[in-house]
Amino acid sequence: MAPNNSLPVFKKIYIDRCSENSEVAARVRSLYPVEIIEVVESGFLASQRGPMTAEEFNLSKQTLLLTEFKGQFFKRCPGATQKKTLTCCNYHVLNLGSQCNMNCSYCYLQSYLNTKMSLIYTNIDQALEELKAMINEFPNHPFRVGTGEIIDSLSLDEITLYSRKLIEFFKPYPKWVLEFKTKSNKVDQFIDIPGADNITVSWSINPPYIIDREEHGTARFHERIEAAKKCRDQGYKLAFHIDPMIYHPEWKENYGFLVDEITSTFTPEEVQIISIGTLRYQPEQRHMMRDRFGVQSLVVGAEMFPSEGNKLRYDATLRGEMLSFVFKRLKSKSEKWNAFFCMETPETWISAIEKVPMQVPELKDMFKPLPVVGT
Amino acid sequence: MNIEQFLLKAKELGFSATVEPWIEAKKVKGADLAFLSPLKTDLQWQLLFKALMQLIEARTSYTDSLKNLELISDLILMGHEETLFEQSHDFAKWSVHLRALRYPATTKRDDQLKDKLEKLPWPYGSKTKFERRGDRAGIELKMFITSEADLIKAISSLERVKDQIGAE
Repeated sequence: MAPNNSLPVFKKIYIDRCSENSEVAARVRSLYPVEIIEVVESGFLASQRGPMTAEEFNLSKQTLLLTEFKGQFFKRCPGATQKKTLTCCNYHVLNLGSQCNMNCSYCYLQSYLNTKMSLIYTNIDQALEELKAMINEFPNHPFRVGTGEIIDSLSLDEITLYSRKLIEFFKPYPKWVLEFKTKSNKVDQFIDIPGADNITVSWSINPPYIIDREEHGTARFHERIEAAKKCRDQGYKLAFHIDPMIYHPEWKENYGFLVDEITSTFTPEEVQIISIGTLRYQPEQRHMMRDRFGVQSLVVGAEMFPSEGNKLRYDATLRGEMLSFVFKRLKSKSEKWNAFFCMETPETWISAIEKVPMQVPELKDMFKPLPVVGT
Repeated sequence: MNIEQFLLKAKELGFSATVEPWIEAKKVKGADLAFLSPLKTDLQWQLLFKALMQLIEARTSYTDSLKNLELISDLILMGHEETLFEQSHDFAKWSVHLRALRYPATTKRDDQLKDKLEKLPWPYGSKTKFERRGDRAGIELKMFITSEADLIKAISSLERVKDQIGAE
């Protein structure tokens, strides 16, 4: 269980009084120098809320607060709440913290977060109780639960070790699928636990050309592939999210390489799903990105237009071409690769593969409506 | 970027006589100018104010002014200088020019699509207009139908359009 490389860097770590005796607080004290740790009274978090400047957003990645979450942990993926405009899978999220210690230029957290520090929620037991109640109510519904929506599932996991608790929790419920979604290569902290068919470790992945330019502080391409191999070898299911695809003149060559690497390293049986999406972001995010990464970034300098659902996206025809290219390349390797488009409109599905998900037998189950919980 | 900083910069560079009244008249707030914060050098600011002068002179609306200022700010950061002001004597043409500079690949694709679509055998007497609406580009088609016979002819023309598109 030794960490596979250096610990996440924080300049300051606050511990909310209510989390002082938590397991995570004890672990933080054992891993970080005492000089950077300070216990704060309840109410501290409220004082850290508000809109952030680019500078404050940068700083929020270097400051950590351990606290308890007071709301509902289990929620539907934001895409699923836009069913009128988007065709979305039944993804649910379990938020065990917020903010990310990596720094992708396109990250949607730039327009989403309003807390001037990274958060780790220490009351995971409460989250598991909430989940347990849901599972008892719907034990046979195929819920997919991800922990990587507003925080990377694994990049801070050496601190929390939540992966270990979650894996053991989900194993007895084979219909419910747990997904860790990451851009890190931090898997050593749980790799001694044998995998199961309902535990998926997934990588959000881009070609090396894009990772090097736009995904700062993340694991490099081959580091992610190596980590995926370790998980595969231990019996975990895998998933890849080729998302967001970023347009650049050599996009076909680079995304072709990416697909070839995945399909030559893994088999369709080892990889449960591959989701594909193109760059998209809320219009208000563009100012923060311009400030933080400059117009030379392929993301900031991209040609983006308002689309259904109000997000900025590439031209619809180009988007269809990009999605279709990756989809067809995957299928050319084997029809068994299970791929779908993330947060896309029915029109784009039709322009890319001439079908909507409910007409694709292997995707039907994933897109079939589930009971609405955690809106 | 707050308004005071913006006005101070305008003053430093000798543009305040025109910029100040414009800010007041259009009730521009600091948040409206959020896109200007990456501008750093005096050269960048000079280009920005010079462009703003053109927009003020062209009496552009609040919305058009801010939309174009953001385009211009991006283009300045991308390294454009004098090319920015080509066609600036005519606001409509300038606006098209600025969009073509900021969105070159899309402009090229749109031009090709426009050429292709306009050559199709649309129904006789119909009016076509190529448009980009957000992330989609296409043809707006207007027809005036007065009888069933008109309608049958129009449908038959549209079938030919469909066949031609399908054949490509």
